[in-house]
Amino acid sequence: MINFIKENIFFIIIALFILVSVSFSYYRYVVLEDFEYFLTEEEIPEQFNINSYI
Amino acid sequence: MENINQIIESCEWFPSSFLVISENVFSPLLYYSYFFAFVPTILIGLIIFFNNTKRLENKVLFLMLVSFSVWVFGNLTIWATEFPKYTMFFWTMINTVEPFVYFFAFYLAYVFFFKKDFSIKQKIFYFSPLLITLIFAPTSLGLLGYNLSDCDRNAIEGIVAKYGYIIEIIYIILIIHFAFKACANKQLKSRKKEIAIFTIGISLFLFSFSLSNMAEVFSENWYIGQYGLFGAPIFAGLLAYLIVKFKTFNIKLIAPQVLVFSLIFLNVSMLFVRSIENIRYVLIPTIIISSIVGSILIRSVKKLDHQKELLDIANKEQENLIHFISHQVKGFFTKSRNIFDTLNSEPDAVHESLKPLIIEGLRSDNEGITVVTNILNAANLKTGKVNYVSNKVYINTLLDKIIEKEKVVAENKGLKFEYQTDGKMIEFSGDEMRLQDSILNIIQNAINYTQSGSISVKLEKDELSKKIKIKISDTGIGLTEQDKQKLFKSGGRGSDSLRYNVNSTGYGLYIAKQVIERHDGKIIAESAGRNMGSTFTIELPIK
Repeated sequence: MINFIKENIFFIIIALFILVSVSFSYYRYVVLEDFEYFLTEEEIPEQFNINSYI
Repeated sequence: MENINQIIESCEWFPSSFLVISENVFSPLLYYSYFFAFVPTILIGLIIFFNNTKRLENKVLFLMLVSFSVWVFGNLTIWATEFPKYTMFFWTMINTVEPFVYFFAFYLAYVFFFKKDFSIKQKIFYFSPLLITLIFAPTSLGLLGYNLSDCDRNAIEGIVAKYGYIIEIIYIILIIHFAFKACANKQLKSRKKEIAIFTIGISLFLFSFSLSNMAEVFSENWYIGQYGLFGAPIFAGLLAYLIVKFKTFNIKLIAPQVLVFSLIFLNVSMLFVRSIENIRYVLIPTIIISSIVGSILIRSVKKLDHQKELLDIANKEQENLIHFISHQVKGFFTKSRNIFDTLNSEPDAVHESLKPLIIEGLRSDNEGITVVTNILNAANLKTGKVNYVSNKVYINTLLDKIIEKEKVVAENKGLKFEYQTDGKMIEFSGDEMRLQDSILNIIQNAINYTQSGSISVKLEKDELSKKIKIKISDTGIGLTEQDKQKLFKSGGRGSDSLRYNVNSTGYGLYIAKQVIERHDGKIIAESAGRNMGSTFTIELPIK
């Protein structure tokens, strides 16, 4: 087991990072449903406008 | 919120089953393009990975294809699901995972080209751009929100998604850069073709994947993205070619696995076909894959068969050559021995100072004859040219003859020699001369490979198991597990064999085993390890 971890430590770290990121997304979007709805085309913000993210 | 629910209801989306199947997917092209992309790539990836799970190339390829598979599943869910929350979650997930397809592809290319891993610094350097995606993809920088202005079930991507496309292009450029570097490397000259084919395959796959994704995002024509997936089976096909032609990923045979896996997968997928008209969409690839891979398999088997025939001929010729040479050499040794024998039997004819040389020459020729005889016997046994003579043999008498001589040799070497028997006569039917030679060989080995301590020989008749057992134990150099693998093989020796017995041919135990087995018996070698002594047990059936 220890040898397996030593040989694959880099991949294990990547997997942990992905797991944390995806878990956070799941919690935010599926559990809390914390996102905005844009009901009309005018409401859709510009992606390259900094104000869209404030 | 009420307003939102009303708009969602008005879109009349169909419910999905297993996340990915629903009538919201209004183009069959979507499912079948994913099928053609996903199936061959994941098949090849699984075959390569399970062939050798410890090899770095195999691991990295597997991770790349797992990332791609997660992407495929996530994208299909986005198309099929009726829930905005799942669209948002899976969209974020594919934005997170997509750059990893490129990262692992680049890692794989590097390891494939240079046959070495990244250093720790390189790993950190090439992985660090992905941290931004990992950290910010789940935030509003990743997805700005859900577009309910139409019923297309889309999320609005933020700046982090665009960042992801840029690092994907950078990884592709790095792959091409290292491919040129590898081709320019003199030490990798012989692998230029292999490197070129790999680079073309992986670049086609990644370029088509990223360009189509970017095109669909900027044009908002979501169909464009589906065509990009056709790069995947091309990559899988080139990988299969590399495996067949260059034994890449250390796989020697791939056609049978591909055929079996793909037939199983395609037949199982028929269970999920919803209407009889659509069965042809599964049958057509089944027919194509079976025909192509099946014909490759038939050709491989024919080739293997032909190679086996050539190998059998080569082996027979080698055996005949060994036989011929050994006979000739034995003839020369015999002549030389006869000359020394004649000189030794006429002590007055020879000067005193030459007598030790004559004795040494006689001894050397006798040893040479024994060695050549062993090699000849082994060759005869292999070709089945040995004739066994069956007579009534008393095993006690046989052992007495051997031990009378060998006990003296052992005691002269400073070893204790014990012989245990209950004195009862044990009758056996077999070839006395060959049985004697075999037992003698094992006892001589015990003496040769023991520097101090004792040798013990035990003879017993086990009425319960109906066996005659001859146990020869020593306190010598012992046997490792590696030694045991080679022990009874033609030409096989223990790792220290020549150090203790310079005349070891590696045929003695092979011959002994053949002779004992010919008499329906067996030889068992046991040892606790290096310098722990060993025990050889000969078992013969009571007839």
